Amino acid sequence: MPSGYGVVAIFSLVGLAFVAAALIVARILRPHRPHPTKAETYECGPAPSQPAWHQFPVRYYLFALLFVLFDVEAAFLFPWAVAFRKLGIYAVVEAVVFIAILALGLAYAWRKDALKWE
Amino acid sequence: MGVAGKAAEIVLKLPGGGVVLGPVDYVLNWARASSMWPMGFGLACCAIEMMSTAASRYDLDRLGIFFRPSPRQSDVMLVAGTVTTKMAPYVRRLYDQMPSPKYVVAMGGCAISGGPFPDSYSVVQGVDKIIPVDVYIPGCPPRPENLINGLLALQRKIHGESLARQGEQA
Amino acid sequence: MSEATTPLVPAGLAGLQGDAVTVAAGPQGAVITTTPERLPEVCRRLREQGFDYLADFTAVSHPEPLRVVFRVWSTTARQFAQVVVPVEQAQPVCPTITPFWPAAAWQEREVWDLFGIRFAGNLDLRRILLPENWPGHPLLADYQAPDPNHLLPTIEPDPSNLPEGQTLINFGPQHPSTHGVLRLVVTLAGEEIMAVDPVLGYLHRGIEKLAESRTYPQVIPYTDRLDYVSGVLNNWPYVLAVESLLGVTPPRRAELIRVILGELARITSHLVWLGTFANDVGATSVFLYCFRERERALDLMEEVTGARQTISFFRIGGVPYDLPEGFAERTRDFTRYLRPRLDEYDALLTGNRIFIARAQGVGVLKGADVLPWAVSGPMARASGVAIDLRRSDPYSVYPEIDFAVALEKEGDLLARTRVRMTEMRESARIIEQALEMLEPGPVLAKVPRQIKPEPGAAYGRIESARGDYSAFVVSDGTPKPARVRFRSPSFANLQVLPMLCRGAKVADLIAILGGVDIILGEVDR
Repeated sequence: MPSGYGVVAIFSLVGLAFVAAALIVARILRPHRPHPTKAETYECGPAPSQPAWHQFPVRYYLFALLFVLFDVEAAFLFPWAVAFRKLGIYAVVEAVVFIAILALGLAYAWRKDALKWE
Repeated sequence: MGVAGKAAEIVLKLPGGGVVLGPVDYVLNWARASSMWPMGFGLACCAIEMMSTAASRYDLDRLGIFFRPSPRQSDVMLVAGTVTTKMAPYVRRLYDQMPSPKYVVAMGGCAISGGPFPDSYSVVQGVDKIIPVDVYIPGCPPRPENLINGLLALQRKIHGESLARQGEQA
Repeated sequence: MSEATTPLVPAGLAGLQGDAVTVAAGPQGAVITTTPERLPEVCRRLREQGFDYLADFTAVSHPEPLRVVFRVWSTTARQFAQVVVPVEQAQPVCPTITPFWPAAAWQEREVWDLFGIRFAGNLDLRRILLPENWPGHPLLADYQAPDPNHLLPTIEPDPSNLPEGQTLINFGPQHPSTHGVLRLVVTLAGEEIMAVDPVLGYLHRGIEKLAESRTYPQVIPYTDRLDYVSGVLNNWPYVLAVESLLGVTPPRRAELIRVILGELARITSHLVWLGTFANDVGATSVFLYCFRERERALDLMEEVTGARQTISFFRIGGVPYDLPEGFAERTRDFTRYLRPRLDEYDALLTGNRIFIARAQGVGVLKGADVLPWAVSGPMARASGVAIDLRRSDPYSVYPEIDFAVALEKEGDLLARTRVRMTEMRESARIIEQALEMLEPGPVLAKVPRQIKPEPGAAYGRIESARGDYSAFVVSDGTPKPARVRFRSPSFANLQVLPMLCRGAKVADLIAILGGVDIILGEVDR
């Protein structure tokens, strides 16, 4: 059994190979019949009324940023939860500090109404 | 014609090429027919029978049929209902936006030939005036069993296809 | 048929009689004939006399003259008044009645579209059912129809004049949540809606024009294609109108059968609504549950009529054949089976925090806006306006049946859900009572072999699953009707959608549209 990182490497390679195989096989097998409308943006039937590149409200960005932050936090907590038993009290204190820092950020965002849409 | 289509034409010309191509065709057609994803294009009354067929009692999901809202993710366009002159350009555009291979099922009398509206000033007399149709399902509206029959007929049609004749399909 | 008929003209209206205005007593209420010049004055007097609800608004082109015909209802006195306004044939113009009844806005657009009558003062007189570049006005008597297979170039909205930060997107016509081919041109500022402009007509099949070239019985199957989830409820107003013209009354057993099938149709319609509305809001499994119950109701329909959806079972004078053996027991089984299921769906939805968060306070229609905008059906009753035509304008044997009118007062989506759930329960009660009241007897009155009513006009009006659904039939003594008009509740109720959506988010738009409960077949006809 290779070392821990070896397993991760094999896992990623097989995953990449799967994706590549699916895309390549599809590319070989599918018919090639280009049509200009196939490249057009879908808008429920009518031709697109205006290009989608325009100034979006900044709220979308704020929500997305907060989501990414806390999603990454959750991603970090998963391996911590798996290895929790073996690591001892040091790991608990470390994780609590980590969560507390991010909770402070959340409290700040909450106070500043970043979580409201309007 | 994709890469495999051209390759299949060449393989078929070789001696014994059909023996090689047959199983490949079989597997490919089986995969396509078992997973037909219709674009929900319910226009009128037939849409409700289409919904009934997809719902609890008649359950289209067991046939691999799963409705997609966007033409980009679907391979069958199930035209259920009357096509009016105002709607027709959009039917054409949505058909064009679907990726190949694509199939069209005309469900109900209106989609076949105008249905009970032959002398109406605003009803297109059949969706085949605008897009090519593969299967016609008569009825007003067709019963769910009839719709399933039509979809199975489309599956049989797909089973009859071949990579070597890819150029003839939509 | 309206029980509020009075052979005399109401005192307040008799004063209108003058040189340009005639007031007569008709079998379905007073009939006022006026010129376009005197119309605003007539409307003012009608509003003063308490005629607060615009029941129908249309035009008739033959027999001559071309005339605007509309009907108003006094919800307090339960009386009707019909106003007939002959207009000139070439370049017809008529003043708008929207200052008195705002609900006339879209109705006037439809008359402009189909008849070419201009309404002076209507701020938004565009075509509503046909495209802007359509040649001519189809419902005129001498219309030369173009080839329907010849497609016209599409006219799309112009986004270039929008203020900074706003975008324009199309919802539909092909969209899983518009419940048919409805197009909403939505102006958005980010996620918030600034304006909604519904574009109708993608299912306009010209049924009203087709009816003029069919015999009276041949029109009945076309009515099924209007509100296509409600089955027999579509046939009812039309046969009521023709029975009025002929002076025929269906036998009692036929009336009871009509009530039983009508209420079954109402249950199936509300089940479709509940399933699709819950699906729109995110509760996908409720869709499957509701369709499962609906299949059982459709089995009962099929036993009696032979069809599941487009039924055409009602005939002029009754129903064509009797109920099969054992129908009563099977129907009682169904209503017994349905009740606990409805309680379960109630708990799943109206007791669910997520559903409440999406439905409470969303899409509020104030009670004061209901009558001016001619909103009817569950939408009106959810806003506290207790008008159910089975009680307010009774027809058939409903006066003998005991049922409660579902009423809520918040006017939001949660209230509408509660109203429709209550209506399903009450429909089950009505069916059970009607089954008890059944006695042997004929099911079809004696009507002439060829239906050829005397020249005249009549309305037939019922409470359909969506609201006030009426048919207006004009006969000219031939076997084919001269004009058939269907006033559909979905068309009238949809008019308030832009009002309900102002300031809402995009996700709320879908939920509000679901809550209005429209069927495009009857919106576009």
